[in-house]
Amino acid sequence: MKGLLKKEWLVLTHKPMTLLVPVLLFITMSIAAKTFVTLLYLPVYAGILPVTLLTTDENSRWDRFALGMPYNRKSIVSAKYLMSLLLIACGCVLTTVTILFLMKSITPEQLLLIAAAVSAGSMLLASVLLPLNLQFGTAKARIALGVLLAVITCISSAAITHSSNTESNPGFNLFEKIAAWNISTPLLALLLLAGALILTAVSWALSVCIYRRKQF
Amino acid sequence: MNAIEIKGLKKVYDSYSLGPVDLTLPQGCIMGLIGENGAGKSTSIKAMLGMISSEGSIRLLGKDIRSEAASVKQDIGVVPDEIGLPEMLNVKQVEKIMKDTFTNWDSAQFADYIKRFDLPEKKAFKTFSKGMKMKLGIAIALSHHAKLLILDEPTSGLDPLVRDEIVGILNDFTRDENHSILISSHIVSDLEKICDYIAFLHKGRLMLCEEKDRLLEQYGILHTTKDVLEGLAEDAVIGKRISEYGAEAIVRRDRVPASFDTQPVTIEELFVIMAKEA
Repeated sequence: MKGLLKKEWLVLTHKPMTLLVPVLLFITMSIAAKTFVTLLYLPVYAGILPVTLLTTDENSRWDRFALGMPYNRKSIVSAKYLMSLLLIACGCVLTTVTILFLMKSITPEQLLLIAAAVSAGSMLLASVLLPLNLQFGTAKARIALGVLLAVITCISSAAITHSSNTESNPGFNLFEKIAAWNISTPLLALLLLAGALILTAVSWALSVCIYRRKQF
Repeated sequence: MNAIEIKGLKKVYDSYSLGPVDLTLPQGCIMGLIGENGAGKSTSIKAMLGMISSEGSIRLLGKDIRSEAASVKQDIGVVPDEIGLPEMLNVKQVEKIMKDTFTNWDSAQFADYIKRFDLPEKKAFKTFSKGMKMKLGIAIALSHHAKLLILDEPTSGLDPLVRDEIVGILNDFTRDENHSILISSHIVSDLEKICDYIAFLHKGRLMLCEEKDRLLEQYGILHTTKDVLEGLAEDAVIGKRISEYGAEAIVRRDRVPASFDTQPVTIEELFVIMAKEA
């Protein structure tokens, strides 16, 4: 496993500037514009980086080579998820620190909620992307992702519209309903993180199943 | 202990099937897996390493490959036909990965091979020629004190000089009597130089698996006339080529009269005739 993680790290950092420039650019843009909206790029970036590792593996035929070494399929998949969680943690820390710098009046509870939401979003992205890419390969996975996003958009849009009772404020009631649950901010942050971790665990188990069936 | 023990190996695809293959390689020996392109050499090797699902029993170095894959591969050096290292990595970085992969990794030995093969340490893998890539793959396979080497077409597409060098390296490896090699190739002449055992695969079927010396003792080439050939017992002739100038046949030496002048046969001739007659 250590060798696999080292390989992921070396591949990821072989051109450190390519990795860091987008991060620095979006942090600078957020600070200059005094908004944290552009910062949301960071968790998205952290969530999709593991896919670039899969693309490198696919191009070099690393998977087949790795199976000639003392690795089993489960550890190959697990290394991808561990690297993914590490990247998400880095993205989350960078985002949170920058937000703290931008919004000095933010309360610890609000900051906790933002950090949890950012991490959960990033984990959700990685949890969807990794099994898709392992199942279909990186080229076909892009098409599968497009279809999946269209389905999610349609379902969520229908859910929001259905819950609204005013045409001028679609979705207003949904958010009102969530607010009416009276959940404390730390609990909401915890629930978000727990949900994302459960989703990641389910995604990992699914990916292991997919990878075990793969023929090289 | 046998280095490789395969019983009833089968793999079925939509348009192709392999097996059943039964194959045994005693420890300390070299086996050449010979066959035309598409004969099933790579499929057999992939099945042995658990890269594809298959039926049958596969034991490497006495361990079941399906249940003990990770532990048995600590003692196996695998060189696939394509060395699947990420193209941006250099030799030094590759070594860092391998150090954390194999418990018996020997950095000094790896450095020796890199020097011997004249491989650049800081150049990216993508800049390597096919021969250099193959040499790096072999250096990795030989630097963790493996007891069994499995090589899939290591000499394919390489020039004769590099091929000869690789054959020399493999010869050195087998000086230790506990070291075994399974090497597949369609370049039969390379295998003939080093192998103790020969396994013929043809269209997914294992046609024979025999000691090389016994094969060469058992079979011979007979240059004669069509009439003489027709007078021989049916099971004496393995394969024949008849032209207007005469007849050439591969025969079982023990099934032809001792007075007949049979010439030594090469493994390549034997394989070509057997494949054609199959």
